[in-house]
Amino acid sequence: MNLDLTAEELAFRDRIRTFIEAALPEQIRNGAAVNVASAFEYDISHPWHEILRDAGMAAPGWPVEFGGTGWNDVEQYLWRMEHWRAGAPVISQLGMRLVAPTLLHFGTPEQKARFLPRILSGEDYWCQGFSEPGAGSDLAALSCAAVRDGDEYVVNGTKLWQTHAHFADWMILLVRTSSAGKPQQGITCLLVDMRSPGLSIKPIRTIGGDIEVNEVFLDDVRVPADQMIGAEGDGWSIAKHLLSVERASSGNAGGRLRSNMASLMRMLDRRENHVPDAFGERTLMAKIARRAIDVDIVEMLELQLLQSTLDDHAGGAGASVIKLRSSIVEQEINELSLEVVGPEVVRWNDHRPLHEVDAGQEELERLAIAPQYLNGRVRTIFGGATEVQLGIIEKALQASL
Amino acid sequence: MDLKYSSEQDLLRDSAFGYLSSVYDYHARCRIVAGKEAIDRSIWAKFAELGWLALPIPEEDEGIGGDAVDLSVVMEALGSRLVVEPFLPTVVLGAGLIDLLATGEQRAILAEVAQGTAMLALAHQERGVPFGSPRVETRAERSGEGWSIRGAKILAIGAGLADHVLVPARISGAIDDAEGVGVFVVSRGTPGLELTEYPIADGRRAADLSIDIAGLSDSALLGGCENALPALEQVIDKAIAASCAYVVGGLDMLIRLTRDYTAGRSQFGKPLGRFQVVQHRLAEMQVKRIEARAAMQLAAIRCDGPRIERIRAISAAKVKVSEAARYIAHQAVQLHGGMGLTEELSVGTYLKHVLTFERLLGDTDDHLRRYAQLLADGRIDVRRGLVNEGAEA
Ligand SMILES: Cc1cc2nc3c(=O)[nH]c(=O)nc-3n(C[C@H](O)[C@H](O)[C@H](O)COP(=O)(O)OP(=O)(O)OC[C@H]3O[C@@H](n4cnc5c(N)ncnc54)[C@H](O)[C@@H]3O)c2cc1C
Repeated sequence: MNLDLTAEELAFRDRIRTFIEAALPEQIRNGAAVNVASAFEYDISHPWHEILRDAGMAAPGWPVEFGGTGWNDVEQYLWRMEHWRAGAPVISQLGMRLVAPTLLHFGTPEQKARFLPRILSGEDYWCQGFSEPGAGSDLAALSCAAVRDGDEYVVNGTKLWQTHAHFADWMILLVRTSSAGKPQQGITCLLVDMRSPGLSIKPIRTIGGDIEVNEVFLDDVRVPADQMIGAEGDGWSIAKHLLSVERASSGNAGGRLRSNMASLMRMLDRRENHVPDAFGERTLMAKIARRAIDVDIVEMLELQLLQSTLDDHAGGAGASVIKLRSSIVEQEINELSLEVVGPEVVRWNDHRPLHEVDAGQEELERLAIAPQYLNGRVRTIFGGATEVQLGIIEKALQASL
Repeated sequence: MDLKYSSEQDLLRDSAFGYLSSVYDYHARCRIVAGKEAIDRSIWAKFAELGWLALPIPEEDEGIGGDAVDLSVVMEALGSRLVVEPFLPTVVLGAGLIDLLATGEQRAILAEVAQGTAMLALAHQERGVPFGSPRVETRAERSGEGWSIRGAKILAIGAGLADHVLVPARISGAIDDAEGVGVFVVSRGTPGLELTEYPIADGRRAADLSIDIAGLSDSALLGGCENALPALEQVIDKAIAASCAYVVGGLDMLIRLTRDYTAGRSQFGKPLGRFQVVQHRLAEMQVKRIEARAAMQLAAIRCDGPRIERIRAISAAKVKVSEAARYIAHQAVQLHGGMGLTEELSVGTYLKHVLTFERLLGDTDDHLRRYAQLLADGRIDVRRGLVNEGAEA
């Protein structure tokens, strides 16, 4: 066993690092550093998307024929690491990371040809219409209904919590097409144009002060049947696939958590008004060491998953373990950041996005800590709440020898 | 990057778990622990035959030349059965330190260890000296052609069985100097070496040493080295990594035992395992075990590498494995109810081992301090991932 990179991998890493350093505008990096919602602001991620697209690096994980880079798993891993290390935003989160893999797996050739190039180019921005007022963790309870009418489906219902629906051109939607049999059986997956007549959205402000999520109302929205993924009733297996992709990509401790730790260490260096006494300093350093250790170990889990050795010991629930741990560790880093900054962390500025506020970058980064902590509470709720992951892990444990 | 076991390691794993499950159930262990010496010599001979005792010893010294990951494979199997035979003191600490320091004929001990004819112990701990401190009060002085040593050591695991005890002693400098310490090989029966043996909480044996030896031969000083603390630090780190693997082996067992017990035991009209709170408890135990396992593997991988990354991984593992082990062992006892408190079941014995593991070789605070110091000194860059970055590593 070893964790050594080959000479080629090292050269690759250096090439990527140099590229990102040169290509990432300071404005985007600064904006990303004070992003307080759980997804990156569109006006931060989109310009970076265009830069990556022009460099041919927008979609590393895709097959080459659709514009992917052909990088192997290790190279993709290094790419993500370097991305986070440089402080670059994640681009087109839902389109790139959820919709595209779903289309690649389940889509018809026509659907792939129609949608993938526009995701890649950044022309289309996507949102995810899964959750509803009555269907959250128990997604199979969803009731938003679609009825076939000739070549179209007519959709009626309400979706809740759609991230960036207010920026989105398209939505991947789960609807109920039948109420016979088990709840999982009558679910279908449609792709909906957000400009369709009858579709409206209502923004929701989160506790961190952000307009990030929305309620989406569908009132006799007509969706052409060729915008259905798979067949009628396939929605549940498609959603399961998509959620497993989401879970697997949720961690990224190597990058994301390290970048959180790096900003915590920056705050530590900048302390002026809040310097604890010797006891406080030692206690604080011990807490920081704990979090740094947590990050090391979550990254090790990710590397084990990457090398397909994690599931030997997790009974197939490896991705759930990573989702569960990385979300909790992130929240604990957030809590510790509050502590590092001290009393002045309570200063609040209401304006969103925060990067538009006229203040120095250091002050903005400090202003971001409290809302990041607040919004960060969602990490253990979405993408399968902690309790849901525990259920998955326990089932796998029971099934193991 | 390669995190898979090699095919040899897979074989070693199968043979280690296989052999121990055939000879070392809980009752066999109880019998061995109750014996006068806490060892089954026929099992020790079998360890030698299986090549485990030769595993980390270099090929030039009639060993197998395995690495720390190989060692972790055997340690995990030993830990799953809470094997009490002195593998850690003899093979990891004793042979490990001799390998690092010894020269010439001193190295002959390694072949004896490999063949199963010599057992070793390391007596480094002195009363009141914190983990990682360079303080050594035991003094060695040249006397004529040889050495005389005076001092006291405590908690030398396996010393009662050892044919040779390795004794760090200060040759020069003040008691806290980082240099001036050598390691002496003191054979059983050497006049002036007095052992007081006693059991420790998990059933193994340790001894306190009172040392007032004169006329120890010149060749007793390993490698003639008077700056042995770095080697001592390294071998203790190896022992921590190995102990972590041992504990992780036990955690897997504890979770299975608890899963099966809660599936079989009914209260309130259904098996305990049907209550969600119990299911989630089991899942939390599993998550902590999986993390502990990742930490232990990282530690094994880093054991033989550069110092900073070694310390980072070893201290991380000690912290992580301690926390996981305590949680899992507590919950295992909890979910076994009153039965968990009895010696009838093995669960409590695992808890006893966790107790000793946590206290020895530096506790959680010691290792947090060591890790935090690297952070504070800027020796660890939190942005840097675990993969080795060539020039920067
Ligand atoms: C910021 C944000 C962004 C989001 N983005 C999107 C999006 O883009 N698209 C989309 O479709 N949805 C999105 N969601 C919705 C998200 O997926 C749901 O919030 C999530 O599935 C949980 O559902 P719920 O909120 O209804 O909580 P509930 O299902 O009501 O659960 C409440 C709590 O109960 C506990 N719990 C749940 N199930 C169990 C169980 N089986 N056993 C024990 N305890 C349990 C958990 O602690 C859980 O947090 C977003 C939510 C937020 C807050």
